[in-house]
Amino acid sequence: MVKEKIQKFEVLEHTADVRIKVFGSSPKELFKNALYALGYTQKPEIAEQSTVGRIIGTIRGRRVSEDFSIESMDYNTLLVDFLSEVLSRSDSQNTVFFDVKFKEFSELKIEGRIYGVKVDNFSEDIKAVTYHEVDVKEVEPGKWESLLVFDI
Amino acid sequence: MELTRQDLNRINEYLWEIPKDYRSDMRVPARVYVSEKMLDEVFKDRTLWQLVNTTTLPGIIKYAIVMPDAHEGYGAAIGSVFAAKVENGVISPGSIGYDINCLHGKSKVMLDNGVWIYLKDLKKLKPSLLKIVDFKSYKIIGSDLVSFQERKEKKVFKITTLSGREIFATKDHPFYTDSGMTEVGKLNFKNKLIINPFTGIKFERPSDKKILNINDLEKVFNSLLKKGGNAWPQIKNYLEKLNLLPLKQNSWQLPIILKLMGYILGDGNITVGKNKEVQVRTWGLNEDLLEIKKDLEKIGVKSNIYFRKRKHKIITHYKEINFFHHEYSLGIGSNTFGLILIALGLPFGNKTKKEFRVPKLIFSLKNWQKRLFLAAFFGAELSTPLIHKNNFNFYSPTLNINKNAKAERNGIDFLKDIKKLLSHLGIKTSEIVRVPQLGINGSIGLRIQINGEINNLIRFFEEVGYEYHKEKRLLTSLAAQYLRIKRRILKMKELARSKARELYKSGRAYKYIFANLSNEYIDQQFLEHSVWEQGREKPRTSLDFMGFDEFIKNFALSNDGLVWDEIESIKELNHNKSVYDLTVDNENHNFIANNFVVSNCGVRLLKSDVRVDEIKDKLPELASQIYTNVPSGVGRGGYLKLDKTSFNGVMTDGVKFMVEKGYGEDEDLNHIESSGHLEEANPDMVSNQARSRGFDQLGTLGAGNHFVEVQKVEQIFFDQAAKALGLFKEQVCVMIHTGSRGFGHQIATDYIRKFIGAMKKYGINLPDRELAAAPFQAEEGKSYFQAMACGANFAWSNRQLITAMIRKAWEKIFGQSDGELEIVYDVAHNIGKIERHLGENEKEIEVLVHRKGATRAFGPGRPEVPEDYQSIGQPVLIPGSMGTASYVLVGTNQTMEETFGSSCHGAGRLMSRSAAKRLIRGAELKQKLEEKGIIVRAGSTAGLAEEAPEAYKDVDSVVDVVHGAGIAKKVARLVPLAVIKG
Repeated sequence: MVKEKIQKFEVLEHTADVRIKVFGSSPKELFKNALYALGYTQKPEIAEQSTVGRIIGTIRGRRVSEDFSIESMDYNTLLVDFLSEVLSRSDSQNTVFFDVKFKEFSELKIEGRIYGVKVDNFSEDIKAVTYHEVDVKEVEPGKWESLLVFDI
Repeated sequence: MELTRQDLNRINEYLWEIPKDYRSDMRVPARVYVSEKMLDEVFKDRTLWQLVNTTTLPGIIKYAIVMPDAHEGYGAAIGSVFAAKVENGVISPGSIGYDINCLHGKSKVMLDNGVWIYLKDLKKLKPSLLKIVDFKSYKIIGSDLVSFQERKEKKVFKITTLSGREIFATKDHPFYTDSGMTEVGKLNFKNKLIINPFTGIKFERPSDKKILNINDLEKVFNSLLKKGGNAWPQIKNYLEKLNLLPLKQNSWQLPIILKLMGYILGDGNITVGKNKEVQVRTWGLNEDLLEIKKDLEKIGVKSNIYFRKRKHKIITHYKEINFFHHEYSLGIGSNTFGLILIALGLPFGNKTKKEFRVPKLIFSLKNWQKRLFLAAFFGAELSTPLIHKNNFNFYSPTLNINKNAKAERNGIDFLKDIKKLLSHLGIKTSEIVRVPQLGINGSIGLRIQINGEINNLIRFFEEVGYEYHKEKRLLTSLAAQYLRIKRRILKMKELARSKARELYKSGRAYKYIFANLSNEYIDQQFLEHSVWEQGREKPRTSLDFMGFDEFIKNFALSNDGLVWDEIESIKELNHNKSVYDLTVDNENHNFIANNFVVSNCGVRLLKSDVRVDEIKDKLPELASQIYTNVPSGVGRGGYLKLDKTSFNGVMTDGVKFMVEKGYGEDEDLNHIESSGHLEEANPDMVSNQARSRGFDQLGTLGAGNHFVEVQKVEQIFFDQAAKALGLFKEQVCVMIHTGSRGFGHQIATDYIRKFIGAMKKYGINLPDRELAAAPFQAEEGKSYFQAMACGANFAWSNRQLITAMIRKAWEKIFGQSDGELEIVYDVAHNIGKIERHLGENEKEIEVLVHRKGATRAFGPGRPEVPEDYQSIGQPVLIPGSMGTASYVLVGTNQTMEETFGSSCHGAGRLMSRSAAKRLIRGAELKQKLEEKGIIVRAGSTAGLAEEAPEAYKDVDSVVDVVHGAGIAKKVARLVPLAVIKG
């Protein structure tokens, strides 16, 4: 489904919701890929236009970018809070976000800019990004992963 | 651990239970409504695992439930119901008022029966009851242990209090202080902590050695009461009911019996009457006798309390006192219990004349058991802790007994027994003294005293004390704490004195000594004396040290003997060892698990007064019109644009507001759960983000399994109910299934985030982060409930607006000739509500019922049920999956008793969305439905496939379980004519 050679995420089975395993060579990349997974779930047909490394540049549509700043307790809550913030903006502005540039990235705070495109509708109406099963960890040196469950 | 069928106990054909001991952190059992046939399905995903997690929520009562349509959600399973107590309280165990959370393994934890154990041994010993403090009433109460965890910690804090108590805890460990719950890391010097001075005796496991069996008792019977007839068989019969014999050293009844033996030996008597009846009578204050009565009830023995006014004369050491006495006594009518006491070694008849000793049995017991006997004996016989007139010192508690001249030797032996027992407990006593003036009518007075040395007194008060005497118990606690403070100050002064002398010797000026050593308790005069009057004896408490009266005023906290203590120092220490967490089961944490109320979705059924055949031709047109009128709203807003004030109106007043704005009739309100409006709603508790998500989503359907269906009534099962609801065969109805959309989700997201942050503060540990919870009465819980109510009001308003748009479509197609669409009912599927239900002991209490993917299903007669449905119960609407049947049911009385008035909410997913998509293509499904004569109007065919009927449990089986289990009764089955989906 995803055209990238490097796997950003993988969709797993879940009875009612969307369960995803997201990867990255660092927490920062994992966060970036998680955002992409969120956008991909909302609008796969647009996500699939993108190519490696230049996600937003290769997507057609009315582009939007916005600043954000999130503080939380650890990587897990930070990731969920980040995606929840994006989802909230996405839902109220009819925009799907696919990419992010971080100005600051620590375990307690992230700050930067998210990039997306305006849409007419969502293919999947994500209700919430949940804390369920989220566990950001380094499974082997240079390989980070976490599960994510979107309530749909 | 994987759950299997073996973990489920079958209760009946439709009900299964996972017992509380399946996992150690479960607070209540878990119940599963499912048929044998469907049982395997519940193991397909993690529904049961999530159900078990739900049972760990603090405050939960009776059991957590999943309905037959349950499936995996996140946090709690979808299709689950539970209730948590609403009233508030805060918990704490042990001798220091801490909320239990990460303490050193050597912290003492108080248990029932005046014993303590080390925290680290809790797991091994599995005590039945912990003692905790209810911070609302400041009473010491019992609570079950729920879970216990161990972890390594590098650093711990050592807290020392003014009274010299020490406790080790981790930085995040909250203590109950004079300014509320405070984490160790944030404690201030001089913060006050709550202390329970009484510590009791270390618990040791008693052996299962036999103390008394039925043959022993028969021997006593034969020697005392033998007579003809069926007296013995009667006693035997009663004994079987009591289930007391054989009594062993580890019988659960023994602690109570030991206390009774002690108290009765002190202030009671056992008589064997002429008619061969054994009577037990004991005297005391009414409140203490009530405690004895309760204890007797626990072991199944009935007793009565009597009252009379009695003239009294008491000759004390100092004078003779005459007074009227309001005499309360307690009598035990049962021959058998008296006989048991005699068999255990208690004397009967006149105790002054009779020779008796402490029953031999007592000496063979563990120290904590000896203490129970002694403390209850002291409750009756030992003098009250009494402060000396100087207001600083206590008299030594005194035990006096009277014996007639013949029995004097025996009296001395008896006191020797008491001395011996006390020495086993580490308490020093005086020699036995003969007190002739004590004797009445020629009898001899004998006396011992608890040694008055300060350490011995403190130990006696803290570890032995009194049972069955509230006033004495309170005074011992206060006295112990007072003496501890006194001891510590004396020690401080002793140190200051030697230090002052040392400094003086080394040539320091007095000024320097004064500047360095003086403090609140060490004044100039004392230091001067220390330096210049070398020979002075041990320091005494200065005259300005607070007296006992003043101490009580400043430090006493409750009638249960709780006191305040001041923090004197907090030090961080290296630890590198385990610390322990434990959770107790107490109503204190009355939680609202916010994930339960994620979408506030629900179902509404509208009825027309036409039959299908009357409008069949126009159905496709109607479906298209509804599809046009009702936007799916997935990324597209609704047609109703609200301004800020109107949006507040929706949040606070729900459907009432919508009707005022012209989107409905007044009668609509009567047929909506809670009239479509929760009072508790408070828009101030809703974030701007939630508002902006909800702003243009009112009147939109949403995606997923949300839909509008035009249906026909296919079958009626329950005529009377169908009639009351106005349903008939072949009737055209419209069903709406949707919720509060992004608005509700954002509220949940906001609060889960807040709760996760707050859980630590309230010392809550849950197996799944998504189950985030906060005490219902706490700020977080309250504001969430108010915000959730806004979500519910939004959801009802949403269905109201969609109703208005469907009515418009109906009118456009049929004109006004075919009548109007009326609401049959509207139920919420995801909601938390405060309701009254039967609690654990079948008493009605206020609970917060969480229904996640479950509906309210109140039985007939409940005031919440609409007037015209009173006789049949509240309607329950169960939509099937898209294109399959839906049901109308009604709540029953059994629903009220078994499931907190709740039933299932739909067919329930069986297959993941992606699996459904792989199985069937949307276009194919559309064709299949159309072949069945069902009209389909849907935005995306991919979305259609996700909701394929194959992905769901069979709605007929789900409804059969609910009906069969009696937690709702089938009224009508409806089948779809047209499906409209976003």
